[in-house]
Amino acid sequence: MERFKKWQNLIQIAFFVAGGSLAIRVIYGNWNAIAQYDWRLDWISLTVSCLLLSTAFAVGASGWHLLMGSLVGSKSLRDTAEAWFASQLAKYLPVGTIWQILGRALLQQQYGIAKSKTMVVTLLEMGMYTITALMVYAISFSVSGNSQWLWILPLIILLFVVGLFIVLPPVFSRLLRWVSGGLHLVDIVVTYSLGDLGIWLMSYSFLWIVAGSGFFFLVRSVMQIPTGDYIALVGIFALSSAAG
Amino acid sequence: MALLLSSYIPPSVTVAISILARLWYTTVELITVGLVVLSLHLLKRHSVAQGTG
Repeated sequence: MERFKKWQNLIQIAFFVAGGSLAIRVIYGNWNAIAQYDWRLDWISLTVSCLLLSTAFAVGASGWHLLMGSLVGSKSLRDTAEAWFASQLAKYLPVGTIWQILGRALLQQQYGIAKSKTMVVTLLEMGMYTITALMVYAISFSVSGNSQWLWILPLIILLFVVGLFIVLPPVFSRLLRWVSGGLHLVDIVVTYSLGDLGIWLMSYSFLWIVAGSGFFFLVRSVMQIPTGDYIALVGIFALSSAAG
Repeated sequence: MALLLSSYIPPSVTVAISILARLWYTTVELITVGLVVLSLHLLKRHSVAQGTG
C-alpha cells in the first residue's frame, strides 16, 4: 500500500510537472498574441461568475447532505455542511484528495457516523460528479453541435453508461460487498433506491450547470463571447473539471 | 480544457483562459469555504453560549 502511494505521488508530480511545463511553453510561444489580445474586464460578469460559483459550492454541500441523508440517515444540514466545507480546504494540501476524504470521515465521525460509511458515501459522491459531468457534456455537445470533437462523443457516452451501471443500487451493493470481502474489512452495507439515485443525479447535474454558468461569465468578463456558446462552455467546464 | 475551448475562443489565448479559470475557481472556493466554516463556527459558539447547541 505504501509502495502504491509512493508511485501514485510520483505519477501525480510527473503529471503536474508535464502539465505545468506544457502550459508555460504554450503561453511563452503565444505571448505576443496574448499580450496583443484586447483584454477587458467586465466587473458585472465577474461578480455574476463569483455568485454562481459560490452557489455551486452550496449545491455541492446540499448534494453531500442528500447523500448522507439517504445512506446514513444524517438529519442535520449544519453538521453535514460543516464537514463538507471544512474538508474542501484540505484539498489544497499536498496529496489533497487523501486529506479531503480522511478529513471528511473524521469530521463525520464526531457526529457518530462510522469512517468506513463516510468513505463509501464519498466514493458515491465522486461517482455522481463524474457521471453527471459526462452527461452534461454529452448533452451540451449534442445541442451545440461541434463537429471537431465528434469522435469523443461515443467514448463519453460509453463511460457514462458504465458509470451509471456501477452506481445502480444492486450493482454497487454487490461491488462493495466484494471489495470489503476481498480486503477482509467489516461488511459495509449501504442501501438506496433508484429514486434516490435519480435525485442525486439531478442535484449534481444542476451543480455542473450552475458552476459551468459561472465559468461562462468568467470568460465573458475578460473577452467578448457570443451567448450562443453558453451551452458548449458549460459542458466543457463540467468535463474538464471532472477529468481534473 | 484548453483543447476543447479552442473551438470557441481564439486558440492563442485558450491556455491563458484555462489558467485564469483555475485560479478564479480556487479563489472563489477558498473565500466561500472560509466564510461558511467561520459562520458555522460562530453559529455553534453562539448556540453553546445560549445553551441551545
